[in-house]
Amino acid sequence: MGQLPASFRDPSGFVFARDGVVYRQVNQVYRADYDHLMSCGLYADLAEAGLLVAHRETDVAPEDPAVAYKVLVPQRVPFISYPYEWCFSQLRDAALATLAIQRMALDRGMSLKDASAYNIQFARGRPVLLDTLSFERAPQARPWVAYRQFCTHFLAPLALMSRRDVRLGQLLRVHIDGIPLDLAARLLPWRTRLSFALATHVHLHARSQQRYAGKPVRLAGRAMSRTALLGLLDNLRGAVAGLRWQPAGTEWGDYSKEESYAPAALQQKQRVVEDMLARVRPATVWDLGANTGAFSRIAARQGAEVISFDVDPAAVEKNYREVVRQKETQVLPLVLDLANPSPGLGWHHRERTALLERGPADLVLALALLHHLAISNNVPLERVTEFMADAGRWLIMEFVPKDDPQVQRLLATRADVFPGYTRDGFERAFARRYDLREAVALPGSTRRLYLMERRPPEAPCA
Amino acid sequence: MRSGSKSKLLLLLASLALLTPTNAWAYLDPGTGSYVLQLIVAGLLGALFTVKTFWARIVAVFRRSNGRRPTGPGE
Repeated sequence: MGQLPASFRDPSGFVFARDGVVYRQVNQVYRADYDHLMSCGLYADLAEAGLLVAHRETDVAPEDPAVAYKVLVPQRVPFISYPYEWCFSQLRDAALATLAIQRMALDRGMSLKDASAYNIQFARGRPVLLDTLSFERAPQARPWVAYRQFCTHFLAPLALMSRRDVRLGQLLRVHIDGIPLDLAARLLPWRTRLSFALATHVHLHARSQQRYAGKPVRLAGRAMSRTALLGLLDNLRGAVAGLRWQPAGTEWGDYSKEESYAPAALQQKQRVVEDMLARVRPATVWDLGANTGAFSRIAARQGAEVISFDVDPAAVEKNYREVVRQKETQVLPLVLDLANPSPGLGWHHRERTALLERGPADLVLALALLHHLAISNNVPLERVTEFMADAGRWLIMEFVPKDDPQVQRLLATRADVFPGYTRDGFERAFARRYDLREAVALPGSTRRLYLMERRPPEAPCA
Repeated sequence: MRSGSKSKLLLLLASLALLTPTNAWAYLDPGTGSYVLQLIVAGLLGALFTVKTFWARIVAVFRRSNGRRPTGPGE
């Protein structure tokens, strides 16, 4: 398979995959830094704290032997996610983890040479640095080379989400190397200039960049005292910790409180989903339209690694806070608009992979979702079928018929141009790609739950 | 913070301070403006940090003398 397409900027090494195993090659040019990382105690401290992905050295043949020093096998991270898929608190926790890592590195005479949000992943519920080659020896204190990257990848988006609008986090999808500080400065409310940290690290920072753009300034050897460097980190930490966002007022934040189901019917739905999951025993589940993750947790309790997607940043925020509060390790909440899922981005479209390239899951959960796709977004049922079939082998799908109050609500303000949206039409559409394994009517409602298994692609259509 | 005249003064001071030759050591361009800004605010941030650490120690001593559980400085 070879070198992974997201791993090419840093000459220190790269990630490659071979026979389904992910390796990291350390190049000769990084030898002294790598040896120092391992011998000075920093690696052990960070791995122990869960802040850096653990690895072991292997004698597997390097991918590029001419420049290789070592080959590492990093601990597996179940699912790669990107900052534009994180909720506010996930980005904030990733920022705080980056600063904590840099703080520990300074104590060991090292420093982070990059502070990319893409180097952080969520594994077992917590943010962890994936890039073992991010450290360099820093015997003398000097300005932090990754300061700009920290501000564009973390501080600026967090400030925009907290002080202007949480949806501005999506700017990270356009600006793949972080939000330009002049743009952030223009979008932030004027009062953010009254905050010392935001005035310094965003507004003044943007002006300083503008002033020195393209100007040759002689900088070498300009020392910055260790105290100043600690002060900078402490100030950034305070700035990030001081940014808050309360999930309220968005579309679905309180959706779970609404009366889609009477309590007894909800329990029945939970039991049916539980039984269907137990029948399949999936290792990986994608819960699409997960809201705050109630059903994701049912799958997680059965041992599955669950990615819990929702379009609403407030629902994902609540879901993530629950993960943190309960120290859950199996659920990863992410923001995703199914009508416009994460595309392939960056160089050659390959630096950040599209959602479906990160699958498929063993099982897809699609509860109380179909009517939003088919009616709110006008997606024909056949196309919903195709997407679900690409996303996973098994499917638990809830059919919500037209006479359901939630569907009636969606139809209240628009013409009903969905003659095919019937139970019969639904079953026919999904039969094109799936075999029906079980269908259960939910008592006290006209909704039905279906367990389906995708047919292998080579099998003829029924 | 009135960023206009204050920042001009700070940037001027920094420009005056930056007169030694350069070499690059990072694979990422740290950005001249980002680098200069750190040097400009270094003194202030260092001083704030020193005061904060010092204050945390005083508070810790005070708490200990009151028989409460001591708390260390944030960093």
